[in-house]
Amino acid sequence: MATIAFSNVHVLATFASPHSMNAWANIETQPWRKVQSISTDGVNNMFTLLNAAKASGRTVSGSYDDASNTLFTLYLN
Amino acid sequence: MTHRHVYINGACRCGIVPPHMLEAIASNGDAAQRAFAQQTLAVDHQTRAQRASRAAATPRSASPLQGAGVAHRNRLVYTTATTNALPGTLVRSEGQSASGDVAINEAYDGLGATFDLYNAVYGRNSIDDNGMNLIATVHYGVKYNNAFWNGAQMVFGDGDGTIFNRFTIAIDVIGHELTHGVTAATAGLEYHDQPGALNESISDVFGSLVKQRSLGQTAAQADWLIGAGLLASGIHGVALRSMKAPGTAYDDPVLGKDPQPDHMSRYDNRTSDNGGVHINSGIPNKAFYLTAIALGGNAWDAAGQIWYRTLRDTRLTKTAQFQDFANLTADNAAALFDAAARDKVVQAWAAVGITVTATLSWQYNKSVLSTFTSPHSMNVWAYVQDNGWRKVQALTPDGVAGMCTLFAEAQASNRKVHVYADANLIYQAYSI
Repeated sequence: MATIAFSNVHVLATFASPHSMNAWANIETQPWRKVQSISTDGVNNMFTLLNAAKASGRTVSGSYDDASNTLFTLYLN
Repeated sequence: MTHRHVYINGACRCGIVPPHMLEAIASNGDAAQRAFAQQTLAVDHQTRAQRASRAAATPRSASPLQGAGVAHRNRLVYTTATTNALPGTLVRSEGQSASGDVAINEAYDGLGATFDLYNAVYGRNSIDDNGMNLIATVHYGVKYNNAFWNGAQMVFGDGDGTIFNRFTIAIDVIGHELTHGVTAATAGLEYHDQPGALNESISDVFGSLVKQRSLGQTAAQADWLIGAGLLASGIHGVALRSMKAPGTAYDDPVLGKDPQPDHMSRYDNRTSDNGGVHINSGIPNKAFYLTAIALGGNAWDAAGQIWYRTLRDTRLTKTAQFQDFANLTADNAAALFDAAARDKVVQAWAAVGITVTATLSWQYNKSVLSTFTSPHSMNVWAYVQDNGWRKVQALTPDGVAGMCTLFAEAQASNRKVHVYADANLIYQAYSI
């Protein structure tokens, strides 16, 4: 798995549905990406952080998996 | 001869020359040396009671706030002209030009160097952090073989000239003794057994830092000796103590051999010297030396900051043991710097036989500086002010998710948190 880092970008929009581990984010300068479906609580934590960033206007840093095009790690800056 | 010194509420009359050295001279020296050593021991016994009564009436500083008031350096040097009446006659005050008496000038300069270290590096405004006057008396007694802090001022003897030189000769001795005042105003470590040895060690640490900073020496360049130059020519030794190599400072027919251990396996359980406060201090001294060398640069910067923060840490009790102090230095290294600095502190203590364990405590009113997570189960981290990165304890998925929400929202809305954490994990949190 190749991860690509990004830093100090805003979260423009988030998306979720009642389906298990179905959380998405549109991050500045990036296409819509789904949070990698590794564990239910882990995806929930990622989504919490994305929404906190969106609500406060804070930037995030982190990485995505280039092969699956999914979000892999996140820092709330 | 073994005996336990009298102390009240842990207070002491803190002399730089420990009783075991004076007792060795009183046993092994020539007639004149024995007489001066016995005289010094008798004076020490009298002044110890005065020191104890002052310290017993001095409460621990109520406010932990640093740098209260405007920096106030006011040095006053007196001479007793070979009597024991303190403070004596004022011979040099702040801003006055140098005297023709070298002891007066050395005392004045040493008081200044100590004030400057604490003020410029640690933001402390004199001994009490409130601009306390720095008072010293030189030429105390007749060939008096010691220097001490009596709770209100410094006192320096001239030495007998055959074993000890004048006590103003070593700037670290001045820093050492004044630091007893700083310790009394902060942690208030009791002067017996391990808290007493920590008290002595802290004075050695900051005394050495006064010397190193005045000489512009890095940790690697410093000699790490306490009282270099104090021993008269002909004495087989280089100083009173060595922080780098405890137990090697002297080996002399009159003084005996330096008894300091450098490892817990050689801890000295004697009852004399208040439980070996001047002896077992070799163990934390070596830990500080190893920390300073590992961190590199000037010892008063990173290593000194860690030790000073620990001295002021409200978790450090008056009866703290070596283990408690070690735990807090590791915790403060992480809070001030990073995990790598903490590891170096942990390794330094391990080298002297103390295994650091995590310190678990509540941290109040802290900001959340960053939050981290990944899609992996129960993988949530928070960077909390003064604590550094800590992982949320991976207890249950929904519990960790709740903590993730708390930290992310507290950070996003600039709210403070209380966290119950140790050096690695966060166990509980309030958003306030």
